[in-house]
Amino acid sequence: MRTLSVTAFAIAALAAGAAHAQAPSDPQIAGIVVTANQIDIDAGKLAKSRSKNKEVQAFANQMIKDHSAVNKQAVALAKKLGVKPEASDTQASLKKGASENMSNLKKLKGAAFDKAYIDHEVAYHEAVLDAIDKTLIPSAQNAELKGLIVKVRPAFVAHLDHAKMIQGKLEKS
Amino acid sequence: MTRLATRALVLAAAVALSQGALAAGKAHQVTIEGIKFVPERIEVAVGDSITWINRDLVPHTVTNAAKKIESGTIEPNGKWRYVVRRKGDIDYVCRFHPGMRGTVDVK
Repeated sequence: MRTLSVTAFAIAALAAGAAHAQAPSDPQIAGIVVTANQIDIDAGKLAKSRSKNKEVQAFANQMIKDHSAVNKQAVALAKKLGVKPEASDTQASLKKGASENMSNLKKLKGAAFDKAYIDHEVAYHEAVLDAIDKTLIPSAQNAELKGLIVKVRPAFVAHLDHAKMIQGKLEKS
Repeated sequence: MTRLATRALVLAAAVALSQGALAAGKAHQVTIEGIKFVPERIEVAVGDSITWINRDLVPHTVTNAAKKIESGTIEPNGKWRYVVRRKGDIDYVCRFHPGMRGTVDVK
């Protein structure tokens, strides 16, 4: 499907970013974390308003709450550490992918919307977890920043599991 | 002393005694972290209290709808205290995160 291939390209940039480039700096990691959370908040807001499926709506609402809470702590930590979030190629790729995903989602409604939203959430959380494990945690220099990313990981796993559960139900319906 | 005053005194004494009995119960703690209740299972006695402390980055709840146990949203760094008033195990969940569960064994 076109959407997923566009998304997959952008998300692959997230995971593979460090493979052929330098590892991101702490300010760049902060930028990636804040952007990654904001992307899911924005998608969640769209889904909450557009989906008529109660489970999809509840999931979307949870994405908004959880990612907002994580971002609040990430921003507070960055401020405490004097780390100003910086742009990076990875951040730019994420934003590009998100913009394309949102454009696509806005053309859809009903079951087609629900499927596209949840499919993207599964792929997105898988890629973010991959990036957390292979890039963000290994590259983070500051112990508190690293600790925050380690601490947030289980929430992303829970989100992925939840999204997969809904994906399975949507496939059966 | 009037009958009313006597009754009020007896009532006040009963309340004081019951408060004393509850205050004598042990205080237990469950930490919420990494999308888990830690420990997942605790053993308490009637009259004990349990405080859930959210050390996670995201909000959670402590919920058993059938037993009308509901913490409401426990924000990161927030806490919720529950006093156990009757025997019987309490299985609870977080309403926000499927799969997140805990048990209170009440002896």
